[in-house]
Amino acid sequence: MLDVERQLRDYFEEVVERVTAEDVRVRVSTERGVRLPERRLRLRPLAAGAIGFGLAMTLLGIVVVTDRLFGAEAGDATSGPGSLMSPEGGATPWIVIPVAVGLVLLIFGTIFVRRTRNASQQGGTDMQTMERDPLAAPIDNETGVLQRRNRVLGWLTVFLAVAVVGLGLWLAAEVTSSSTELAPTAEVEQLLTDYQEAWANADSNAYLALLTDNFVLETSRFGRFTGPEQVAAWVPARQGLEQLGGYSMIGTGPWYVTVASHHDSVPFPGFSEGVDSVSVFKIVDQGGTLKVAYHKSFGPAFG
Amino acid sequence: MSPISLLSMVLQGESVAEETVGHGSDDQEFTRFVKEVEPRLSHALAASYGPEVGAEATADALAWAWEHWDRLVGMKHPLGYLYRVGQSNARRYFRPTKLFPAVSPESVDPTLPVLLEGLSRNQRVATVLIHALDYSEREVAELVGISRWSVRTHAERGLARLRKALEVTADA
Repeated sequence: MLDVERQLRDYFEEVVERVTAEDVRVRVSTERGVRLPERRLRLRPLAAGAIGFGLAMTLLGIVVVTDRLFGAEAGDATSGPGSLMSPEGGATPWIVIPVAVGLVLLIFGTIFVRRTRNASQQGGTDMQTMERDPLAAPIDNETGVLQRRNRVLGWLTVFLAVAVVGLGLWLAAEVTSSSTELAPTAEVEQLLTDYQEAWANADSNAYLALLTDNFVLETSRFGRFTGPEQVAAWVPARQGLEQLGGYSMIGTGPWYVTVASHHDSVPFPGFSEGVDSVSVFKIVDQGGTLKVAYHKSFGPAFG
Repeated sequence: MSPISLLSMVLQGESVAEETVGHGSDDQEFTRFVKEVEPRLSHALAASYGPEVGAEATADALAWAWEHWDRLVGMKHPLGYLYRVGQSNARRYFRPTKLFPAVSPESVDPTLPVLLEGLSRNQRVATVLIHALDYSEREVAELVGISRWSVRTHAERGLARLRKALEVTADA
């Protein structure tokens, strides 16, 4: 047997197809200039799925966004969090995600179908090839050339995987942050500070300005007061009020806040030296301004 | 006049006799260029991706050269660039399950195609171009885009593996 170098030379001289300048010109002209008769458009299952899913997501996103943008006035201003139909806060950015995902899938599906159709149109006479045993690579019967690998599916899979992982991470972060958020925002904290100051100073006007129209003040000992008129009549006399510790808050609107306070003096028998209490507040966004919708006090003096 | 515009006129059946007077140099230059670079390019791409895909990739790369002739003539290493173009195009083709087909010449060991697939791509290119086709290490380094030292290492290791597998000594 010959040496390896000679064997390699003989082998590659045997199998390598040579390309001439004329081959190149023919290739350019056939691929760019001459098109085969158009085949009937075939919709691949994955492309059909992508288009269908994209359309569904787009329509769903449009419906949700439309409802958010134009259905706000018909809703209840104090409805709970988490409802897609809730008008509070208007259209939040994450709502755009279904629309974006749908549109991207739609575009990918459309491109894939176009590429499939274009690929079926291209081809023509290729350079002369040598006779040889058929290999296992797919060959286009009409053009006689190797079929090109379509990478759109691969990229689409990567994109979908990234999108799914991203959405999962976002959802996880959303759930985690909403369940562990205990510190009040600066705006809510300022509202409650103003509220307690007005209460301590017995400043009825300032106090009532912080309340919603259907505000409820409730204690077990003195009962339930609804609306500004009832509450205004009950605002107590001036008293020293000291906050004990910080605020604790849950929710993303409405916000539910608890705080402990010490009252220097209360006009109740047996509590002349002061008393501690715990208050629960419900804060809502009313027309862009935070207001106190509910206040309930617990403690030895309030029941 | 660029080769493309010339070609389009020819394809459209227009008379270009007057237009081409004094402008046929691009066409001739391209023909000379193909004759010069095609052997290295086709052998390198055939060694990389097998003769089937390598031939298509070579034709694609040279077609790119034809379409971007003005850009190519200003390059320092046009062959290396075309090799990259060929690599990019080769990835778009389905590859045969066997990169290297069996051949009939009795001078070639039947196991050689299988052994070639066992080498890395750079080993195949370096070994074939240097030891089988007598190209210099510098030419292969410029083509593949790696250092001459790496080319030498790839070529030596590739050849040693083939020799060991074929049980051919260096003196044979």
